[in-house]
Amino acid sequence: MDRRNITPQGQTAHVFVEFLEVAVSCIVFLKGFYPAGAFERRRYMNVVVHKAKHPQLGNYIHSATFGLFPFIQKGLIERVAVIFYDKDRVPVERFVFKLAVNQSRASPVEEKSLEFTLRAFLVKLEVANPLMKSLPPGGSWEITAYFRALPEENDATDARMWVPTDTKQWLQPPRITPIKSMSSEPLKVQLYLEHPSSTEPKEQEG
Amino acid sequence: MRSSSPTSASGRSTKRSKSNPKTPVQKSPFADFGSYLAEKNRKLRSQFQAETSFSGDGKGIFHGVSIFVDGHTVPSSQELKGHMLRHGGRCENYFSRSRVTHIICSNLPDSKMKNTLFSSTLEGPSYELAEHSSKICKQQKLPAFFGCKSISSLKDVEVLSDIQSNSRAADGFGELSNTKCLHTSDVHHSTLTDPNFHSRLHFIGTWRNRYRKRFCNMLKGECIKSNVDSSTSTYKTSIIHIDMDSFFVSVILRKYPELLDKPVAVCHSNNSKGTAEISSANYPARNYGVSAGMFVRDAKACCPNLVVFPYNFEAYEEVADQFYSILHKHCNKVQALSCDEAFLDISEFSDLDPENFSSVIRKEIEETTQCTASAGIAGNLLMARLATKFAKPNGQCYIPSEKVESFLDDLPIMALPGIGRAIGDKLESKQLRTCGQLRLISKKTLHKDFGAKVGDMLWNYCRGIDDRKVEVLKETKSIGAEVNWGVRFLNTMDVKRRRAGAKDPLKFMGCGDCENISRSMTLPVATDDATLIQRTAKQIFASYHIDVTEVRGAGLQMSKLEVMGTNKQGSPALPPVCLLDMSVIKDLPVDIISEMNDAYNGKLYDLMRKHDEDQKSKINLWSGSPPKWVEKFEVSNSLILNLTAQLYAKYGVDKLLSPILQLLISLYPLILRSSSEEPLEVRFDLCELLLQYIELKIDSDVEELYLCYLLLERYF
Repeated sequence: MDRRNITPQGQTAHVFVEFLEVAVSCIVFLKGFYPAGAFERRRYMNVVVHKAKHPQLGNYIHSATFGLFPFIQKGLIERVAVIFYDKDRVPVERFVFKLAVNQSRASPVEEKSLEFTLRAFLVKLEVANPLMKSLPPGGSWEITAYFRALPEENDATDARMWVPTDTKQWLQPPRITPIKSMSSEPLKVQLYLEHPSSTEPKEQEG
Repeated sequence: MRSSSPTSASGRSTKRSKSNPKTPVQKSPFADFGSYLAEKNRKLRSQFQAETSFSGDGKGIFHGVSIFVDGHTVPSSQELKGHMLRHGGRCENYFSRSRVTHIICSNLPDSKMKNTLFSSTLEGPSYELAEHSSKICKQQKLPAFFGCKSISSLKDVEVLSDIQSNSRAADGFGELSNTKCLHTSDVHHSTLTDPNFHSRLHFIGTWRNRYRKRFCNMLKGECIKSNVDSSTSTYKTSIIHIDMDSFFVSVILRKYPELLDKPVAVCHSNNSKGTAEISSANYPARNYGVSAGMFVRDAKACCPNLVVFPYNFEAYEEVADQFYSILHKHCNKVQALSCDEAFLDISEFSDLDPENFSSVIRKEIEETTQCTASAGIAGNLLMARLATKFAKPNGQCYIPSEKVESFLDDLPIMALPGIGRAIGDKLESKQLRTCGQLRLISKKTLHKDFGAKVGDMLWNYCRGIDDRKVEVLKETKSIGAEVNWGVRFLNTMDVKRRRAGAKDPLKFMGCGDCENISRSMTLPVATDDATLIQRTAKQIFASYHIDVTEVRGAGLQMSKLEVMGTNKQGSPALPPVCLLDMSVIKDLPVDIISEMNDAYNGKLYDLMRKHDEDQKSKINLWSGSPPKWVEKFEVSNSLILNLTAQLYAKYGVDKLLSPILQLLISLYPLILRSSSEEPLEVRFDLCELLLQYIELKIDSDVEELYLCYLLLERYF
């Protein structure tokens, strides 16, 4: 995304999407899903972050997050979640970014300050390890976005990156552990963890 | 103490009453009780005969009938005895299966049923016997059976068998918290929320309830043939399967006789491009290739001059009622299969020609309803049903037992009822297509390949053997409702899930290519509570782990139904007034609120009013800068509130509570220990403060809330 979008929503979306890519990479690294060698250290806003070195991984994260750009710009995205599954495709842990973009703002956005506030997320994430659950063997992960309204079909080129999902859900409402909340016009972002509640019934066979 | 019930099978009463004036204790001329009883009966009979001597004609309506009155009855046994006398019948004081032809009782517990083998029981409301005797008709069956309260009082279990309530339930299910991935919540299907919408499946499904309500009371033996010698004779079974021809169309064509030989079909829509399904087509239409289940556009393609009518459910109900009235008039063993189809067991009319009987009934149906019916007559249910297929339209077909085998020889196995595609394909793969071929396979092989139950069924059916009996009105054993049209989001239970990779359904809002999934859950106690059912259904639905957009249809079925007994506990206990949630109560309909108000002796209205006032005067504690609560707490009597307010006033910034809490904790640690002794209003105020804070912050700053929560948890 090289061209700069003039609208404040565009700017916001651009900042967020960049941030999101970094954040997702961090999360995946922190969970230890892939061996540490798949990542290289980079610097983002004066914070040490890990970026994926492996081309497929990097491409996936990049295309996923930047694929959301038009939708974030329109304010269609409510939440973006990085979900880790166990081998039965039942979610074990979810990192949810809840966001709200103020559509009515007219003046241009201070990109730098926005970036700066987002930086706090990354810092907090690094130390959030004790809150996380350990990863079960044979699991998988994916990025899911929750839309406020379904996107129209004419954005075919971008929409194809994102496909509707049939992810399994938990029966009981999950336990939420907030990690960080940020509110800085026009963007409000909150990051929290979701774990299955203790009353969640065990998966039965068949 | 041995029961002295005279219904014991041996027919001898074991009454040993010491105070019986008829038996002198000391010296009895009778050797044993048996001889005493025989003498007593003889004496009673001669007394009876003496009383009957005055009746004029030799044969009254009760000739050949001998009753036994069991238990308390209205009219009394004396009266009954009198009636029997007057009309040539007999009355026995003690039950004996050989002498008594009918038992009269006012309720029918299992013990009585078991002890005496009834060949048929007739139920009916109690009425004056005297009035009925005046309707002298020699062939009329004894109408003296009184209403059996314990059996005929079926209370319909009101479950989601109504599409309307199904849609309400569907709205209720929208609260599933974790599955709200998409926020499109508009219900696309307009017809589901339309209370007047009828679908033919809904009509057929709820028809059974109507039938039961209407005909349960009609089974009081208006049967014309007499039936005296019923208990011991063994007779050949004879079954008629009767089925009206293209029911929906025929009913409508009553008013359009000029279209009788033109192709006509019944369907929701007449649109030649439409994907509504034809439900019924008459025989001229079928000749063009139109069949039920076909889309209307395809039907119009093979038959361009097809006339399409919409449904007329009142007419269907009317004709179905007429149909069943006629059936019940002729025979009391009717098993209803559908609104236009039934089995009749006419085995007991062994002196009648079944073919004649069947044509009499069919003629009457045609005259009364102006719609034709076809009938199949055979020795069992299976063959009768197969015969009907042969007989249609407007015909009947009799398959005597000697012709069964030749009839079945070339019949394809899939034509047998109960054999579907799955079994048919499996047999096809073994080169078995006709019943004649199937007969060559041993029972053991069938068991091995299909299991015992299906194997037996196959073995029996290809030989024309069917042991099922015609079942008269039974209680519903299960009930269910299903929707698979227009379902586009949250629904329940039996779920049709779009097959992966399936195209969009052909039919607008149809279910398309789906896989069916079903789950079940057993409730510990029988219930008819809609809330409980709804909750259980939600749980089952959540356990599917299914994405709601994939859902194409859903159904709910409840089985192992029980008759609702009388409510012994009386009305449920009222919750104490202080625990009522006013906002919920206000949403209830007005008549329920007034009922509840009566239950609470008029206090409910007062409380509701007070609640309203409280709501209006509720101040937003967090509004303003500094927030309003600061002022409020500063003037409070409670130390803890004072301190909180002061701290905020001094250090507070931008409506954040957690730093204040931290300060409070660090500066005044002792205060917190005693916080549990604070009076109720103080705690209430604090709770209110926190509640409003949560509401304020939940959208933007969950982290802050989390902090507060951690602090409170640790220190308060």
